[in-house]
Amino acid sequence: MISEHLREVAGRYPDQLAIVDGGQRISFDELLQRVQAVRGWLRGTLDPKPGDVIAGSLDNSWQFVACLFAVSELGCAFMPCNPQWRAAELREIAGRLGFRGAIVEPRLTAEWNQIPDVILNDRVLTADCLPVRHDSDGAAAPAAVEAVAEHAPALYLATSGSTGVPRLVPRSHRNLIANAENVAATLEIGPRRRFLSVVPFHYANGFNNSLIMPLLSGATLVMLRQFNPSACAELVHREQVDTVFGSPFIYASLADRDPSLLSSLEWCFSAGGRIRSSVVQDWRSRFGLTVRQLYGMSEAGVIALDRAVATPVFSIGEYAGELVRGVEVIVLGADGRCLERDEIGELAVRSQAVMSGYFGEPELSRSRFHNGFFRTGDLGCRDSAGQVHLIGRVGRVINIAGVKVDPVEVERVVEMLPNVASCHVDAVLNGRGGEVVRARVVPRDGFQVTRGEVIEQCRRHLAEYKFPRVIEFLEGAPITIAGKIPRRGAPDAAPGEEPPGAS
Amino acid sequence: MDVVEPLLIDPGSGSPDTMGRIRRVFIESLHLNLREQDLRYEAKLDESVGLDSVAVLEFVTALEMEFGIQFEPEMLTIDLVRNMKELASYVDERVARRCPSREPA
Amino acid sequence: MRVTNPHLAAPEANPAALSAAKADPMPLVALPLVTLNDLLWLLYLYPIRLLARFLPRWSLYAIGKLSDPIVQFHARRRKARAVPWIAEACHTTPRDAARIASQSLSNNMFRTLDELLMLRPSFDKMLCCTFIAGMQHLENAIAGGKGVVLTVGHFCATRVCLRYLASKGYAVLSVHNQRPSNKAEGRLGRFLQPHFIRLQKLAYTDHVYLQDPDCSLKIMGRLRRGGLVVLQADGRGATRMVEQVFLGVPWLVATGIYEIVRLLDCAVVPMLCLGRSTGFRIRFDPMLAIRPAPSREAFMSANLPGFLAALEKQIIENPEEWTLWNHF
Repeated sequence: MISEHLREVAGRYPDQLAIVDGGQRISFDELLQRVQAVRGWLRGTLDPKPGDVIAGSLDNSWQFVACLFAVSELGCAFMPCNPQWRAAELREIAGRLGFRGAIVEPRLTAEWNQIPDVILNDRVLTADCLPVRHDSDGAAAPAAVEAVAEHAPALYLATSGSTGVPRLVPRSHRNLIANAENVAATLEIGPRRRFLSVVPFHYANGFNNSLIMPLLSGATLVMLRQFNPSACAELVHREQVDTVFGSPFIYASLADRDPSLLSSLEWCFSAGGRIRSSVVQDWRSRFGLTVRQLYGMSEAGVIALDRAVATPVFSIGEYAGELVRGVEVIVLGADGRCLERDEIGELAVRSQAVMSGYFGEPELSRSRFHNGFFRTGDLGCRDSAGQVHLIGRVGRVINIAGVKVDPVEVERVVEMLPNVASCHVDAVLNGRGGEVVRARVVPRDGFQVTRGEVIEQCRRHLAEYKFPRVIEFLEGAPITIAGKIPRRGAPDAAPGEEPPGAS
Repeated sequence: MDVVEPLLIDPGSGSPDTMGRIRRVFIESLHLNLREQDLRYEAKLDESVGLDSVAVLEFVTALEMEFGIQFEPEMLTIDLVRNMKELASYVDERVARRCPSREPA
Repeated sequence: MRVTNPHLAAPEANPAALSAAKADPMPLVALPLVTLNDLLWLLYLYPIRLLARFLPRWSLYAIGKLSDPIVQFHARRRKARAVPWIAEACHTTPRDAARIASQSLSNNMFRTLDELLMLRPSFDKMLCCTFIAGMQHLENAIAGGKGVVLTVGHFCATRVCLRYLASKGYAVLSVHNQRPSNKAEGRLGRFLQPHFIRLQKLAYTDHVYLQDPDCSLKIMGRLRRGGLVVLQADGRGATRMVEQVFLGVPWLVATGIYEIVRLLDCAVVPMLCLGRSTGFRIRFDPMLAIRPAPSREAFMSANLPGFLAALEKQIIENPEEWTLWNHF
């Protein structure tokens, strides 16, 4: 489906420049030909079936784009891998997803060849072997384009969680197209725009905002494979780049460049962290440009962006801007109810661009959705005008009589017990107007865990105020239609409500 | 990380409860083979119990866990940690700030 | 061929003796009056430092290049000890290992010249970064809100890169050893030591010393503010050490930094810095996955090998830029 959109754009603007990569200037028409060639090559070398996953460990380059669309035309999903991942990390991801094959930068073959147990060495192809034309001298016709459902995954992105263990986020064709169309409509992106593609494509920010969205809008991608500030500024000048979706570090690095090099820039967005006000100030005073915040995530695409004409906008936290077209955001309180404007709580988002769930983690995915809205884990509010302000991360902190308890910490401690499969910690009412910590423990199949063991474990590792006062044992993790884990023997809770606390 | 000057324990104002708990945390977090009553004023914690910089950190993080507080970054100095009186009163202040009302509703 | 730690071949071989030596330096009367090492330091601290204030960088580097033969000669015994170690650790020939040893020594000399240049107020403008990779790893780690520990090895361009990051608004607190080991010193060298430390204090403004009693508290404060702290993962010279195998030889790893990570639950991002001030490259690697564990010992055994393996790989891929080969 994403390639259908690409073809449609190419049909409208065949000679429009799609990609500038080093010395190569590739029009949309040329890009389609390369995609066709790569598709045939992948079909011949990997023989993939629809639904397979093919990995790519590539720098920002035309090869990345060609592989992405070629893989999608084969009915497969593309997994962009961080070129800095070592064999151990590659083995873990490849083990979970199962790679039919991979296309990697030549310098990375040594690393990829260390994991033949999850991907055979002869299925690791190098980017320098990519054909640019279909070999029409051979007998075979060009490989057919597979039809693909719009909800099938086009892509898997890895999010780097704070534990260092990445989660896999499937991005369906529908997700990608919806995100691209909505952002492009919000910002009026069209064929005459020239984007700087420097944030790595294996990051959501790079992929969504510097690859898919501009390309499917007919804009030009000016690529920089390796970031260095002076080369970047020169490239911007040479190619007259007007739009950058970058990150705080990129803007900080470019802040001292010669203003004449960056004079073509018009739109500058920053995502992936808080940008220092000194950097924003420097850009304004030296280049006359406003670096604008963009709020998004791998799981949901772009949620909000700052298009304010009059800046700065007063914010109690960080101003994230107005919602992108097609995106709804609600603010959730600790008890799950919807909060009003100007009240601070967890932001939850619903749109066609939101994923359906993490790969291979159904319980976790279910717990991240509330009535169809995806819980971002970010604390924030919406002001009277509906604009989004970010305060910080939610972090699932429980507040017990003014004392903060991190439920994840308690969960980890309990999960150290050998007979415990998993544990979920939250707070419940104690029937006396206060709240207490509750642990719901799922023992391993066929094993028993006693209250005494759990309490003893907590005593060894936790301060007393963190002890769970309510300990419940569940069999497996039965899920009701509403997606809630019920307490054993208790009536199922209505969706959106916490079950009544038990003492 | 080198050995620091031994801590001086100093009785005085500041909740005696708090000071007692601080002493207990000190002994437990650093796995010292001492009884609480042996930590007395004028008993300089001797060379054999000299603390290195990481031990001070263990003590401070154990205090945070025990009292459910967080030290403000600017208050993380060796002088505060060495002075029992100031330390106890700082801990009391952080505890009070954390819970405006300790009574259940 | 079994390679022993060249350090362990030296007289003050075992760890116990090492700590003893550190705590109790040799008495002045036992030292020679002047050694070649002392003379080199004297040159560095006075005439060269003065010249560094106004000479253009290229001419300072030219002086460095001219003195290279002296430096190589002075270090000939250490280099000879290093060659078999490098050959085994990097899986290369003795000839190539000898080249690496010499190159490492030269690069280290340019590092010390860059450190003199750092005293100039205009040094920030002299920095030329040719390549940065993995910024997103740093940014993700910062976004975690609990501060970031950057782990580095003893690579030549580390100080220059830290200075560059600071100039971009990413101030990094660094930890220094106030008393670097200096086995070849004579009485002159002992005399020069405090002057050298004062020079360090001027060059690195954002630092704490290992020997400060509140060293860890300052690190904690910086991390709690969401800031950055850099720690050398191949550092030694601490009271808390654990013996591990590193680059094929027994190595006393200073565990202080890992203890801090364990206690404060901050993010850990390995950083690799290569080159020199005329052109340097920075690479941030993905955040290290920290395995939680119930005790200090369990934490170390679960995590230390992984941390060291990541650093070993950096060293083996860039051996000419690592400065500790010839240190023993």
